[in-house]
Amino acid sequence: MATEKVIRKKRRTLEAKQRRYGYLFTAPFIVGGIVFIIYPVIMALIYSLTDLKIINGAPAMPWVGMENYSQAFLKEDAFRRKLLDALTEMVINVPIVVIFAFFMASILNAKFIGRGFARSIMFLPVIIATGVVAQLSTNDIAASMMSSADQQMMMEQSSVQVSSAFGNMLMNMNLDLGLVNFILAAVDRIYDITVMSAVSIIIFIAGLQGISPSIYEASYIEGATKWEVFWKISFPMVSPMILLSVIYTIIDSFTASTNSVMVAINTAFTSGELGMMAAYAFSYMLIIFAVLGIVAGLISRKVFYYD
Amino acid sequence: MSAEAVKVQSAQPQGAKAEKPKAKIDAVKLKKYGGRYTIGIFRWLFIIGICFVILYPLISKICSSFFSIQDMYDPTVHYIPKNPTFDNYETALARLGYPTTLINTFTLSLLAGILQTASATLVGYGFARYKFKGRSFLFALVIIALVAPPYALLLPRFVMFSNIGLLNTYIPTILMGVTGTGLKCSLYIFIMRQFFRGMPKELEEAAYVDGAGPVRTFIVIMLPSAVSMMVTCFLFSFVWQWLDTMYAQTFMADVRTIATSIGYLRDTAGQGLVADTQLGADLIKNAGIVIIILPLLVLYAFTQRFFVESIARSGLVG
Repeated sequence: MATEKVIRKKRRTLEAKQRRYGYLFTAPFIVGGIVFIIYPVIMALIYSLTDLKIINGAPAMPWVGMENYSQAFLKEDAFRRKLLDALTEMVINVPIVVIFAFFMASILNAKFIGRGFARSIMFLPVIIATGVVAQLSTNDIAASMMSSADQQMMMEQSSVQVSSAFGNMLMNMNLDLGLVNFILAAVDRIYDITVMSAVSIIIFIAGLQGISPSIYEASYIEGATKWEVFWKISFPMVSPMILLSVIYTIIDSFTASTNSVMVAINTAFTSGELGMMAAYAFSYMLIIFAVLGIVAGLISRKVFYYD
Repeated sequence: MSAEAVKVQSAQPQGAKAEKPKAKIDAVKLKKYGGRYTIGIFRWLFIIGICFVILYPLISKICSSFFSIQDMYDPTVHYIPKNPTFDNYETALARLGYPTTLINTFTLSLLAGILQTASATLVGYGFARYKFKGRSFLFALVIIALVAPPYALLLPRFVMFSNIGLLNTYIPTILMGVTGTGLKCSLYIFIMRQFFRGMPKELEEAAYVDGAGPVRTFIVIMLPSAVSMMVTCFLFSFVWQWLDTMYAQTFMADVRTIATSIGYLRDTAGQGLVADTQLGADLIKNAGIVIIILPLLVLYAFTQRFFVESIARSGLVG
């Protein structure tokens, strides 16, 4: 009796301790979450129901109810079309990026001379292909003209020839035309894909490194071939990483500054239609959440967790 | 004599015997390693190809930033300019407003980097190790901040800060950094959480048994092993803050940072040029890009070892 009480008391204090320190460590984010996330999200929802405009530095927000939403979704079809564009782009990007990143990660995971160098180059796009640099690099005729004399032309021509030859080959294999176009588009966008894959490559390398070598040893001793080892060990073991990478790529594709919906949101922001902007942003956020929920729900059924 | 002859005779077949297996071993070696070498060569070719794809735009920008206009039109000039010029750099530096811009941006990025790394480490540890009421709700907030289109959160924050009169100061950055809600800070919280989850619990349990409290355990035991992951987070947050246009333009519109100078550089790059405005402007823009990312490349060169290492042995798994 007495000991039971002591144990219960101890457990309670242990739980209390857990709770106390949990709150202590996450305290910065509890404050931040309330002030900088919950409050802004609620405010964005309120803004989206008004025709917010900033006149002479002072915000004026006449209430318009669902007007912004009905304009975005019912009256005009521009936003709907952009949403569809964004969704299509995401559906195209995600499989290419995830497969490419997984492939690159398996290559970079093997031991070879110069691996560190190759890895550090792979992560370079994280630095050189974002934000300011991307903004300044649009329509850079100098770079394309620099080698215009012959090299660039030659390169472009040869790449066109290669991809058209490749296309012919695929066509001769009686593949579906849509599939051929899909593959050719991916070949032509190799730079974009490499840039988009950078973070996913990091995620996959981390996943592959996390697999204990003893599992591989055991299966090789049992006589498994490399093919079997890949499908029965590597693949299931990195499947949580696949989920993570898919989610990251979806978010990245949806929130990239070149995404058509993001462009629409930016335009609404810079042209001062803040209420409209809030409506766009808020509904877009809900759609992203829905997509993430569906995809995560579908994939996490197949994901294998070690413990 | 005869004994020697016997020796020689007996030695000969032995030598032959020894040679035969050697040849066999070579064949086996070839079969075994030949495939590996072919794969290695293909791997190298592939990696070189991808590296080229990544580096080519960068290299062409660096090269063209040294070009003068007449070099651009000279068909014999490839990549290495005949009359290298620093004019593009001088113009770009002036238009970007260096060194003021550099100092401001550096302060901003350093503040964001240090504060976000610190808060993400703390919060990530809290999420990874402690169970408390509302943890999953709190974590959902982390994901919301990651997913929300930036302007949806930025506009209310902007109104909030402008009401208190904190615009054009570093205080918004500091506040958001401390509370782990700054630019892409959710991602760092997520990374740190995954890292700490992958650490063995035994380390901490041993520390508890030895009588250390949770805070002491965190500082003495967990932090030292998290250094490389923290460097990674710092690198990310520093670089992304450096290159970000949204936050700095919203909260510090009147302070000269790279984010606020970039539009000026883009719009005025061609100003004052007599001929070939577009081309000259692009050369100046390329010089501007090189100026902007040079500090980042230096930083990356120093930290990439940590970066690659921390990925290699991170507990991003799980």
